[in-house]
Amino acid sequence: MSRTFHKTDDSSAVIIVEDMGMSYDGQIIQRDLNFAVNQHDIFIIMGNSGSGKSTLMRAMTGLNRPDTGDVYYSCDFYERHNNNVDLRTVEKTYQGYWQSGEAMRHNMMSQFGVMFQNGALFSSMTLLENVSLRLVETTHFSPRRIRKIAALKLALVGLKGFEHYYPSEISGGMQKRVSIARAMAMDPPILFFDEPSAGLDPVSSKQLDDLLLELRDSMGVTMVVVTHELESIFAIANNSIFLDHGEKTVIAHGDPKKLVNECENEQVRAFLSRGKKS
Amino acid sequence: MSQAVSTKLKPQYLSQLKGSVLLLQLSGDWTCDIQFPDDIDAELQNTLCAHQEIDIVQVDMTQVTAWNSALLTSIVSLNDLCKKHDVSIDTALMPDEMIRLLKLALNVEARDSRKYTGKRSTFLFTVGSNAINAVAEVGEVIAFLRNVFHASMNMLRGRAVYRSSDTWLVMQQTGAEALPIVSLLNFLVGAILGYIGAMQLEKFGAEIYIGDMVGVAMTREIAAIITAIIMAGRSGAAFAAQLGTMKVNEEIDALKSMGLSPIEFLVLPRMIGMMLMMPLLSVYAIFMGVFGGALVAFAVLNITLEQYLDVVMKAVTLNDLFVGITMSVVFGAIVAVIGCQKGMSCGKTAEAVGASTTSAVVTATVIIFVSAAIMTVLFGVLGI
Repeated sequence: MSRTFHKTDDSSAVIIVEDMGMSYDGQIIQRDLNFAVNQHDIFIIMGNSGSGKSTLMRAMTGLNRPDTGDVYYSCDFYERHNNNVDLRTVEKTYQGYWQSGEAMRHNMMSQFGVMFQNGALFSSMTLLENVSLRLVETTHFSPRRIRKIAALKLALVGLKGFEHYYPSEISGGMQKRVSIARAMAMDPPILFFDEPSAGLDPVSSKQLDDLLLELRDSMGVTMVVVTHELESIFAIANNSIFLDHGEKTVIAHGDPKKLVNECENEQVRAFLSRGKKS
Repeated sequence: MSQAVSTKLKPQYLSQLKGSVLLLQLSGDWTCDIQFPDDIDAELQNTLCAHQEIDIVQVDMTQVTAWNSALLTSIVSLNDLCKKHDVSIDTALMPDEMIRLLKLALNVEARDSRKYTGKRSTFLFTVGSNAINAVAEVGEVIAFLRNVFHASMNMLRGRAVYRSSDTWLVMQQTGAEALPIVSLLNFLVGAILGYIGAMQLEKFGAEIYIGDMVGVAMTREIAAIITAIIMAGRSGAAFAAQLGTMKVNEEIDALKSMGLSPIEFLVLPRMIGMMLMMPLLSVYAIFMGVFGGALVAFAVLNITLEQYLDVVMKAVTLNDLFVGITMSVVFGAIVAVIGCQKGMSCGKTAEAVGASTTSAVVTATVIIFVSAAIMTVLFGVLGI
């Protein structure tokens, strides 16, 4: 049975992770994870390699079941997002993803889009087909309207004119952009990004950061980004957690621009100050 | 999510011409895919074409309760239309977020473009391209065989770089691990041959010759062919999939960049392993087939195992065994070469790996039967 809990305070949490713990092959990766992602946040999950950032994202997006705890999504957020409702002003109900049944999970998945680290584009499909796949399979829009929506999404990520190319015919940076367009296809209110800047040159990485900021501001989406690229972290984030490999839990939580000076944990300060701009 | 009571208003639009201004009033919830008014683009196009006096299109979205990209596509289309008809758009009554998105979408210049060519092609084009592909494929196989030959020469001179442990692993995978399926299929084929033979031989009172039939057929050809087909489907497909995936992951490029020959390092162990295991598996298969026939002989014709084996021993000669083993070596080489060649020439997509694997099995199976026919005639002519 699924359970809900109500929050009536003035928080604007869209996602709440509660007591989450994960392991791999019997080895604990992270435990006792507790944090919230607020509406319109660009929330960074950071940490060193192997600290479990991607594993946490996979648990949050329903790809890997955590050992303990759950991730709660704000109910009706899809409709509230479309109606520009400020979550601070309304009563909120949250639904645990892993406690829910299959149908409910499927419903919850429509709230978010995911961009994978290597793009994960379908190589046998054109870029337009990649972006329109979910629209074709899950909506009742006419084929013509779906093509228009997919072309619009590609235009939004700067790939107008590339609709009939195949993934193998474009660069890695462009593939990441297509992957973002595909994640946005259904206009989800929440977007997850796994290492969006990894493998990109500084110029492309900067362009991608600017794109994420523009999409957040224009579409009002909430973003959860897994990255350890410090340039990107300082450019886009307004909230974050730092996962520690040794402690196996969150050792810092907050705006990275503040954490770099104010965090009590020396390791976090050292991690962030390597990329701090003077 | 809790099921919200539906209070959605139907998405509607109304266009009114006021002098030179076309007022487009939108209202309701435009996020609903089922009720989305798909005719809006055509309607606006008709209006703009019919009224050349229009200077401005004013879009009023103050009554829109919710919207998403679907509505934005209509606004983008309207913008294109207005540009075409030299009409300006008044966006004062549009949400700021939509104006920002519109700017983001329109500020991008098409950096490149490609027309959709579709997947249809003429019969002549299909035949021609298939013929060209077939010729190119033969060329690829010949080039591959040449490389394999050079690699084999290097190996004989002791200059080839490969890991012998890989060869042992291939021998285990293609040999020992294939025993159960080889046993089952050859036993059944022997039994089927024996049963059909028994039905026919009974008519002439020549039941005892079932041993001749099963023994000679299995030893000379059937065991080798059945085993080769199993190997093509099992190991040939595995070779193609393994090497194809390595190509997709750039592992083969990594080997080349280290100065190692992928043919020596990857193909030779597979070829050696397969060519050594095939004759052994075939001999084993012969025994299984003969035992399958023995079971039928005993069950259907009441021929004892001693009588049956006595007939088999008299009927099967060393020449028959030589023919069977020769065929199995050739079939082993075919399966290994085709499997490895298809893997090495695989494209860099998941779909290409699947196509290579399928092609490896189909091509190897066809060539096995063609070569079996040629060898049968050849050995017949040579009197072996």
